[in-house]
Amino acid sequence: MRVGRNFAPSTLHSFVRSRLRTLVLLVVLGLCTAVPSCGPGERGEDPREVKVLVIGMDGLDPILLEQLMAEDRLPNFSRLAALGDYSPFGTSMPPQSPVAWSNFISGARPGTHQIFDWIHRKPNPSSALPILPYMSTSEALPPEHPDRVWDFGKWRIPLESGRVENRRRGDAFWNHLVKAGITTTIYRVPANYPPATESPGPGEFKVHSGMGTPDLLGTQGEFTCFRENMSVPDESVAGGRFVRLDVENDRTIAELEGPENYLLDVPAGQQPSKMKVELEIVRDPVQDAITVAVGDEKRLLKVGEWSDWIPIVFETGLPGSTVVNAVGLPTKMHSIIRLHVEQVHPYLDIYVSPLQIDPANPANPISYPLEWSAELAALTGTGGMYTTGIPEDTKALRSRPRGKTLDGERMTTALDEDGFLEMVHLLVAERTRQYHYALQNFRTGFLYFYFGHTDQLAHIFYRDMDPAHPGRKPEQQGKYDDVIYQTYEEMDARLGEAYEVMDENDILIVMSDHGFASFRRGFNVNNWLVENGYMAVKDMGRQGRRNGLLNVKYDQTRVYAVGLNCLYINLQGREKHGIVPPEEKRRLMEEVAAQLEQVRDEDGSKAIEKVYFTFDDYPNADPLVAPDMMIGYTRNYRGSWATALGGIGRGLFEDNKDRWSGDHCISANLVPGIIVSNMRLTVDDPELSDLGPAILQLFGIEPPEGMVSRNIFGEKVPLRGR
Amino acid sequence: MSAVKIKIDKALYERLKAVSDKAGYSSADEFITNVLEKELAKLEDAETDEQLEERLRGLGYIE
Repeated sequence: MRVGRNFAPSTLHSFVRSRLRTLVLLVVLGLCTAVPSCGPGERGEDPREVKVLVIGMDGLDPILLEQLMAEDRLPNFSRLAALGDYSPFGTSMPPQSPVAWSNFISGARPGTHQIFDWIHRKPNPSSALPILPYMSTSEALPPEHPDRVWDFGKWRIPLESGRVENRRRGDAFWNHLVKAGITTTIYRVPANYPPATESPGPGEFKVHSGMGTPDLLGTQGEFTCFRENMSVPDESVAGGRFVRLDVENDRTIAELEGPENYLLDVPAGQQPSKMKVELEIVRDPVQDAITVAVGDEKRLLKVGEWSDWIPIVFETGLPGSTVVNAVGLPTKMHSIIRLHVEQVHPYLDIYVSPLQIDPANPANPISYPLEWSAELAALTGTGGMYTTGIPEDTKALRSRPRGKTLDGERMTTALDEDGFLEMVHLLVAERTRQYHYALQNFRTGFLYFYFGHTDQLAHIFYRDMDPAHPGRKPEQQGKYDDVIYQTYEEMDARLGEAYEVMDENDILIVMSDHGFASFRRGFNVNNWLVENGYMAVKDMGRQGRRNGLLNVKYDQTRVYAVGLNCLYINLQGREKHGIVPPEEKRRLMEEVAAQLEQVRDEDGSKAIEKVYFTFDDYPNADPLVAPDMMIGYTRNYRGSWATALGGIGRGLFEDNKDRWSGDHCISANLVPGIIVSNMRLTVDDPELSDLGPAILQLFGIEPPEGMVSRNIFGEKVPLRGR
Repeated sequence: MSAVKIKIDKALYERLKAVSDKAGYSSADEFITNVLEKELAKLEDAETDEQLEERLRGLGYIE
């Protein structure tokens, strides 16, 4: 398979058009004759003097980029494209961020790095579960000897700590730069948590983890919304929790839940107790303002205001810590939070960000060197920084509680669109300060800087620029239509800033991991499997998303789905309750694929472009990890919300009314990313896995075995030759 | 919303009503529904690794 090579007709057309435009511009500018003839490996430059900057802009889409360049809204992108080269950039199949970025990091395809989806499954878990879903990029491993504990009183002290393992296999390409003595700095490349704990070589090396980094609870980010106007004491929603505030005389104590107290013994039949931090909140009886006190910290906040970062400490309460420290376990866990005052009168309403791992006292390493996270946080001027892997809190915008207000009305989400955008602007301000610092201190070697809000804003605001989206709200028409375009313009400004600090002979590359499409309709894969006799479930009426995988009758199921694109054969000898003999697997896959590719929506639209056979395309894929098949949806479709964890939906297709209205988990050839550089491209079909090895060659390093070997870069055009 | 009736002892209902007022619920029905939902969630979660599923649900891509 050559995924990412066959662009959609509209994309292909604009791609060719763009390349022609680039050529025309080169002729007009007289640059064709000004191009030096030297190619990679022939420059005779000292590799230690080479300077390569890669700016990763997650989800930047070629169709949108080309449209905005044609409208002269992206002068810096247009300038770089005219100077060097521009192309859509082939992504991974499936085009999910952890898979795509792993292609970039490892300079190889999924058969090498073994990341195939956000969610993988264990086919034969040791627990009673039939199969076990898990986050693909990292895994928290328990101590090797969990029974080695020291019991005294109510305490149960583990004498060994667990660890977190990065599940991406294969070497990161930048390791070979560091081994060659090249200064290498990596800001938050996704799918790289936990980061390295030691330098791979003599070169100066810094890395900060990005997407995949959990919050202090070990989740992808759990907000807390303290709300006076709710009738039930608390309610958990996807990605967060609502807690009622009982206010007396304008004063209340809000209990913020932290991680489980892992040093306390848990009697049989009881839930582990959680560590808590108390926030004392006092409301001004007249003004729209509150004071919040936590520990030694105190803040005065007006309605609508965001706090700076507030440090908090979760204490285990263990008296004396000598023994615990001796085995390397903390007796307290540090976090930082940011508050947003939604409302003061008549009811208090306060949003608390997910518990960020404190960059100054990280409970788990998030950078190498360890202290680098604290240095980066100090740059923001706000007392901290977002450290969770996807800090844009889309769940606070989307997860609406089922409970009622005190007046019997339906409750609102924790943040509305404006609050969410403010949060993203705060985040981008932090990242931009760090970006400027990175540029100013970039002397030599390789620098990678990542912007992720480009992706998250496209997920949320796609429907505002798609008139045919079923979730579009008339009352919001016009209000957020330009959010995504403005984000592209901001990125253009960041690119312009890079120009200013780069020298004539430096190399500047902007790239994205995938593009974007509208997500109008969700396909209920599990419904389809049941209707076509490939899966049996205990209860078709169990329409919901919890424990869907336990609703499956595995002894009567031949195919099941886990994750956003992946299908698995319930294979004898591999799955715990496998029923399909290995000799029947291929025929079954071909039958399922042929039927899926014929699926039509109610209006006759084709929903699935292609079903990919993983082991045909990636022969080295690990059979205990990789899916057997991957569904490549057409634009406007995606696996439904219920699908990823085995849920049953209402019918085969559902309108997507969610705020999460754009997506890219479709067929890879339909959502390429972009690459723009002052390096000329030697191929018409560059793809993510090409880039790392090509960067190695810019420094005179031959890509090692296992990485792709072709070099996509040709001539270098001087940056000042514009 | 469709609903079904469930019979419970009247004395128990009176106790529930008294406690639901103190706990800040708008009605005994709301209190009972909330308690049942919580207990049901515990039993459903007992079937799987709740923490693991919650970790996954924090992802924007799934719900």
